[in-house]
Amino acid sequence: MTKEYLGEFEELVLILVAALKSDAYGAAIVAQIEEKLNRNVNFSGVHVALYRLEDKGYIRSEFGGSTNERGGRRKRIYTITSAGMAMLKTMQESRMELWKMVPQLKVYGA
Amino acid sequence: MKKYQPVPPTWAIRLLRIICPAKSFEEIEGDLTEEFYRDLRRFGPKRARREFAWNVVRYARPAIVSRNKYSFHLNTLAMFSNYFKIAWRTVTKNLAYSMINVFGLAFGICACLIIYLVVSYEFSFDRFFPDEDRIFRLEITAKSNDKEARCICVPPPTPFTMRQEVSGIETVAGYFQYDPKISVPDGANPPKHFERQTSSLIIAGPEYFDIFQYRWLAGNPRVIKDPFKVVLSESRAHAYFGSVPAHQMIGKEIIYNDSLQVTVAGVVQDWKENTDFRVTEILSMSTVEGSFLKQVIPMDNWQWYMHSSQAFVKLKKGVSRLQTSDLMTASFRKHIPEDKNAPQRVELMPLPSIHFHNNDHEESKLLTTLYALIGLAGFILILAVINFVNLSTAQSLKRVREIGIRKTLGSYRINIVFQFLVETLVLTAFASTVAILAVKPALSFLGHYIPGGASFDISSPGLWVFILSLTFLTTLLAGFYPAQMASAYRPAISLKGTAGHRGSNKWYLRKGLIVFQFAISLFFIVATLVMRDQIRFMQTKDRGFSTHAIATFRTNWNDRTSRTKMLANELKSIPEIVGVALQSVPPMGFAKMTNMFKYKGDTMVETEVSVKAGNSDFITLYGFRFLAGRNIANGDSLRELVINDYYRKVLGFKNAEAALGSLLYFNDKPYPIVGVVEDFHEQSFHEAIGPAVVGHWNEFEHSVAVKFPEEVVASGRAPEIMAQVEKRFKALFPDEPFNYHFVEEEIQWMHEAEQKTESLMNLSMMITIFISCLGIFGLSMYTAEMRTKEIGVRKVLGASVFNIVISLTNEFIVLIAVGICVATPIAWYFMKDWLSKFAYRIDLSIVEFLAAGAIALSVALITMSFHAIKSARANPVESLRTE
Repeated sequence: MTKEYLGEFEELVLILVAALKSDAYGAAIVAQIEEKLNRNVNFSGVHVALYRLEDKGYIRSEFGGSTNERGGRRKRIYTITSAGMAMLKTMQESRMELWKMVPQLKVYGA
Repeated sequence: MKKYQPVPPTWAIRLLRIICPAKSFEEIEGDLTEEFYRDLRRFGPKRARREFAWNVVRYARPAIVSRNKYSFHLNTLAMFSNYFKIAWRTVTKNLAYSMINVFGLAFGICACLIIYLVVSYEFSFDRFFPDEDRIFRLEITAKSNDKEARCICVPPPTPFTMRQEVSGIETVAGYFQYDPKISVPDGANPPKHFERQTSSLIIAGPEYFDIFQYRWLAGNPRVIKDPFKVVLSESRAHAYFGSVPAHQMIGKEIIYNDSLQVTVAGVVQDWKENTDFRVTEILSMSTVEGSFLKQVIPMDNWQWYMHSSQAFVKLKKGVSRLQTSDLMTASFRKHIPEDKNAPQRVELMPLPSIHFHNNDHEESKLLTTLYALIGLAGFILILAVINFVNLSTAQSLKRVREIGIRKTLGSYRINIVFQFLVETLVLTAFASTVAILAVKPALSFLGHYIPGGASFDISSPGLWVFILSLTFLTTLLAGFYPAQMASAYRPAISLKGTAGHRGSNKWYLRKGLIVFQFAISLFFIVATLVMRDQIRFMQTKDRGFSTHAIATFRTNWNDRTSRTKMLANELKSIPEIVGVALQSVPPMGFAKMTNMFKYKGDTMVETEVSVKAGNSDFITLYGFRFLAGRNIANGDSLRELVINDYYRKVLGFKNAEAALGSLLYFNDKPYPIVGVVEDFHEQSFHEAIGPAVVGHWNEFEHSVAVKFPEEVVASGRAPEIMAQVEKRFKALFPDEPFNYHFVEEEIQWMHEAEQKTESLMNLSMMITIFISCLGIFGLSMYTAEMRTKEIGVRKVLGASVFNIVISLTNEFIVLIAVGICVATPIAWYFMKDWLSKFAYRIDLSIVEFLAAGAIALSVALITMSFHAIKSARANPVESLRTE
C-alpha cells in the first residue's frame, strides 16, 4: 500500500477536529474555518471531508447532545484517533523537513 | 400568542432526506439548521432560507450521494431471479394467454420494425455530404392564380450573377443536364455506341466539386477548368473502357453527338451512400463556348426556365438561409424583366429535403406517406398493447392470493410492480425475438411496398438501439397499468381469495380499450371499402374514348424530318396492327400541353385550351364520339380543329351543330371548327375536364399509337408484334431508345398512388382486425373459464346452448356496437375528405358503413363463439366438479 496522503482541505479539517476537541462537529468546523481563515467553505464539502477521514480511520464519531438551535437534531461529534494524530504529526514533520531546504527563506536579522 | 419564528424550507429538508444517506441525515440537517439560525441573525429570514436551500442542493454531489446504502438493492437483486422464475412459471402455466400476448405484440413490433426500416431508409438520403447543412438547391417560385408554382430550375446566368452580387455565399455551382448520344472510339474497331441515359451527364464548372466533394481516383477538381474535358464516375468509366485502372483512363476519348470530341481528365468514386444524385459524367462548362452546345444552352438568357439548368449553393458558416434567399431574390429581380404575374422568388431547398421534393409539386407525397406509415406503426403497436393490458388485468385476478402472500411476507408495492414489469419484459422480449425472425419473410411478402434499398441489416447498431428501446417502451406501455393495478390489491381482503381491488370502475378502462380497438378496425374497414369502390369507379368509368389494346411510343421530339410519318406508314403493313395514328401525347396521361385560343363571337372569348395534336387516325383510333361534324383532314399543316363539348359550352354555342364552321384564332390565325366530340378525360380523376381541341399539328406529332385486334392482346402476342415494330423503328431511328407503353398502363400509373393507399389500407385493415380479434379471443376465453361454474349451474337449471352463448358474448357485442357508433362519424369525415380530392367520385353510401359494421361484428362473433360454444356444450357435471 502506498503511503497515506491527505489533501489540503482534509488536513485542515483534521486539524480543526483535533483543535476543537469535544466540540468538533460540522457546523462548528465551518464556523471556525470562516472565522479563523476567513475562507468560505460549503457544508457539503466539510461533511465529505469528515466522512472520508472517518473512512480512513483518522477520526471517529458519536452522537452528542442536541440543542434547540439545531431544531432538536443531535450533533455528531468527531474526535481524532491516534492514527489521525500520528498522521498529522508526520505531515507536520515532513513539511518542516522541506521547509528547511528552502534557502532564501532563512531569516536574517529582523 | 406565539411569536412567528422562521423555519428552514420544508421542501429543502425533504430533498435533503432523499439525497443524504439515512445515517448522516440527522447530523447534516442539524448542522444546516444551526447555520440557518446563524444566517437568520446575520442576514434575515429571506437570505437565510435561500442559503439553506442552496446548501442542501450542494449536497447532491457524488461523494455524498454515493454514500447512500441502497439496502433494498441487495434484496431486489436476490428477488430478481425469483421474478424471472415466477414469470416463467406464469408464462408456461397460461400458455394460451401468453401465446396470444406474444403473438399480438410480435405483430405490433414487427410492423414497427418494418416501418422503421422504410422510414430510416427514406430519411437517410443525401445526408452524408460534408457540410450538408450549408448546401441548398436554388428554386424559382412564383405565385400565379393564388397557386404557388415552383420550378427546380434557374436561368443559365443566375449562378454567376449570384456569386458576384450576393454576400454570404461560399460557392454557387450551376450545371446543365444534357443527354447526348455517346460513342467511344475503340482503336481500329468501329466505335462503341451507348444509349442515352437520362440525367446522368451534367455540364458543370469547377465550383461543382467545391460543393460536392468526391473522392478522386485519378485527376483532381482543377481539371474541369479546361474545355473538352470530362470527369467520369468509376462505374461509368468501367462501362466505357472496361476494367482498366483509373489512371490509365485519363486521356481516353469520348464523342458526344458524333461531333464533340472530349478527353477523360478524371475519375471519381461513385457515391456509395443513399443519394438522389445519379450524375456519372461531368463535362467541363468551358466546353460550351467552343462547341455546338452554344446553340443548345443560351448562356445569358434570363428567361430560359428549363429543368435541365439547375444550381446549388453552399453558404458560409452561420449565414441564414432565409436572409440569403431574400438577397438572391433581390439580385434576381434586377435581371429579369418585370412580369405581369406575381414577382418571382429564389428559394433555397436544404439538401436533405431534396429527396422529398424531387419534382415541382408543392407537396411531397412521399413525406405524407411516411408520416402516415409512422402513425400506422404506432396504431398497430397500441392495439397490441391494448390486448396485453386487457388480458393481464383480467388475469391478475387469478393471482390475487399470490400478491396477498407476497405483501404479507413484506413486499412493498414497488416490488410487486417490479415483478409484474419483469413478467411483461419476458413476454415482450419473446415477442421481439419472434418479430426479428419474422422481419425477413415479412419484407419479402411486402416487397411491392418496400423501397429496394430498405433492407434488414443485423449489423447496424441503430437498428439494435431501436429494437431495444422499442422493447422497453412496449414493456412499460403494456406492463405499467396491469402492474399498478395488481399491486393495489389489499392483502387482508385478497387473502380471502376475492378480488381485493377497489370498486369495479377498472372495468371501464378495459371496456374503453375494446371500444377503441374496434373503432379503429371499423375505420380501416370503411376506408378499404370506400377506396376500393372509388378505384373500381375510376377504372370502369367511361373516359369518352377507348384505350383498349393501344400501345404508344415516342420517336424523337426534336426531329424535323418526316421519319415519324414514314414509320407510321410502314407499320400499317403489319397485318396484326389494325390502326396506326400520329400524336403528340395520348389523350389521357401525365403530359399535357395548353395554348391560348380566341373566339371572336358576340364577345371575345379567350381561353386556355388543352391541345391534342394528332392526324385524322388519332380520332378514329381512340374512338372519340362525334356529337356533330366530321373528323379533321390530314395535310401538311394545321387547317381545322375538332373541339370537345365542354369547350363548345365555354364558347357559348347552344348545341354541337351550332359550333360547326365557327373560327378559332390560334397565334392570330383563324381555323374552322369542323367537329365536336364528347367530353373525354385527359388527366387523372382528380382533375375536372376542361376545354380541349384536337388538331393536326405536324410539328408536335412525334409519338405513334398502334392498335391491336382484341385477340392479339388476349393471347399475349403483343410483345412479339412490338418486337417487329421495334425492328422498323431502329431502322429509322438507330440512336433512339425504344420504349412502348399501353395507354391503359399509363392511366393506371396516374392512379398508382390511390391504388397503393388502397392496398395499404387493406393490409392495415387485416392487421387491425386480426389484432383486435386476438384480443377478444383471449378475453372471451378468460370469461368462459371464469364462469365455468355459473355455466354449469345455468345448464342444470335448463339454459340452452344458445342462451349461454348469448350471455357470454352480449357484453362484447355491446362494446363492439359502441365502437362502431364512435367510428362511423370519424370514418365518414375522413372518407368525405379523401373523396373530395377527386373531381369525379363515388358518393359515400350508407351501404359501405353497414357492410363495414357487419364485417366487424361477424368477425368478432365468430372469434368469440369458439369459446362460448365450447363451454356452453361442456357437460355441467364436469364444470360443477371443478375445485
